Amino acid sequence: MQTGTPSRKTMTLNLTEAEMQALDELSATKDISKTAVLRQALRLYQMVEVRTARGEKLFFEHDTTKQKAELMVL
Amino acid sequence: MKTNLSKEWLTKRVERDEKADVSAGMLDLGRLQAEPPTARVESIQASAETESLHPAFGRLINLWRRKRGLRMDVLADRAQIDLTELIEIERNLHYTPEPRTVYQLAKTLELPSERMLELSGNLVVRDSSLGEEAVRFAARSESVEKLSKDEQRALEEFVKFLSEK
Amino acid sequence: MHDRKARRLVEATLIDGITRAEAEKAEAEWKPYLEEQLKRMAAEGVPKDRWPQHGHWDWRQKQEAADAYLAYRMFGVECQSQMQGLMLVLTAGKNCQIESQKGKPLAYVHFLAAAPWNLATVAPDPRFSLVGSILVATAIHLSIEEEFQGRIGLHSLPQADEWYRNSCGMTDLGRDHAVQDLRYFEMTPEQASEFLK
Repeated sequence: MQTGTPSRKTMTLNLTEAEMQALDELSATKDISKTAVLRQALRLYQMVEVRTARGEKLFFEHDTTKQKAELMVL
Repeated sequence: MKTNLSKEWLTKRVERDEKADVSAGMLDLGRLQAEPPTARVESIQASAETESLHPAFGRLINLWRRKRGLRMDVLADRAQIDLTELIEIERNLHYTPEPRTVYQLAKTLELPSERMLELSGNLVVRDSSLGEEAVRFAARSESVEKLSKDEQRALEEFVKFLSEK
Repeated sequence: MHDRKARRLVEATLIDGITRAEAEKAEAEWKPYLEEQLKRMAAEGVPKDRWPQHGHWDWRQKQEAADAYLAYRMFGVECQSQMQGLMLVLTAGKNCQIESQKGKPLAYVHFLAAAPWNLATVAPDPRFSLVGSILVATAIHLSIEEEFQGRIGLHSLPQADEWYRNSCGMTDLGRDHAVQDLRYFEMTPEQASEFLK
């Protein structure tokens, strides 16, 4: 069996304390490293961007009430 | 990515996989027609049941699109389908679209996908009342530039029927 | 893979990152074979409940998604110069539903299919087995690489429910009304480890 392993590049991030805290919390909750959290964020951001560029909108739907709302909280 | 699957492991799995037809994912075409879609397009022996629903499918797409004020090219773009296929759907009463096209249209126009697959001739119809309603809808709706009140009412009632089952 | 006729294991290649050309070739080979067999089944009067449950997925479209989005990975198993199975996995945005793993990310097997000549429901003499096991193992390895510890999830087509439940040891979370009433299965890290043993 053969598989390909893509090459990786290293980057240094400058984050605020609040951002670092959010990153720490997500890492703990999701049980993945901080790098893995940022990878998830990048992948989701890319999906959102590609689809909104196509004219789609991002919505949340409440599981029970089925009420739809855009990304904004308020 | 490392995937070390040893001979021992594979040998052990052979017995467990013996009778397995493994698959996963949406777009269940579990109720395939007697003839596959490509054959059906060319065939002059399409079943009466399939034939009677085709006009309703094309008419539904046409009216639903016009009700939303969408040009064909805009709908094709939004649904990510071929414009030529959309034209065929709306104008050729005997055309059977690809399942993916039907699914994309259902998603874009917010219509129930399984019913749409039945209506388009991609799935075997389980509910005989669909045929009756489809014929009634096709008969009540005519292709004009703007939706008449009658067309609008016919469209709304048919969509309500599709969504209820 | 296992050659059913020769009753032995044969060399196969796992492809990580299916190209457009590979997806098109698979489509060009799978679709006509499936259509031919469906005609045969219709002519033989095979009852509809024994027909295959995924008539035709557009693998070119899935390959486009894999190309366009970092979150999608597409795999294939090739043997004797033909694609014997394909799988599209989503690696972002899906979390576990099993209570003990709630909220933790998993690798979601969006689509998985064996070539129609390998399916007992389609082919009079299925050629190869182990496509399912190899691809599920691949999904688990991907999950581990992503730090999801082997957690995977998928919606099964009914003919495969029992296999995922009993042969793979996955947890059956029941019918998902949001996904055509298909049964939703998940694998915990412990179940994944057991599967790979």
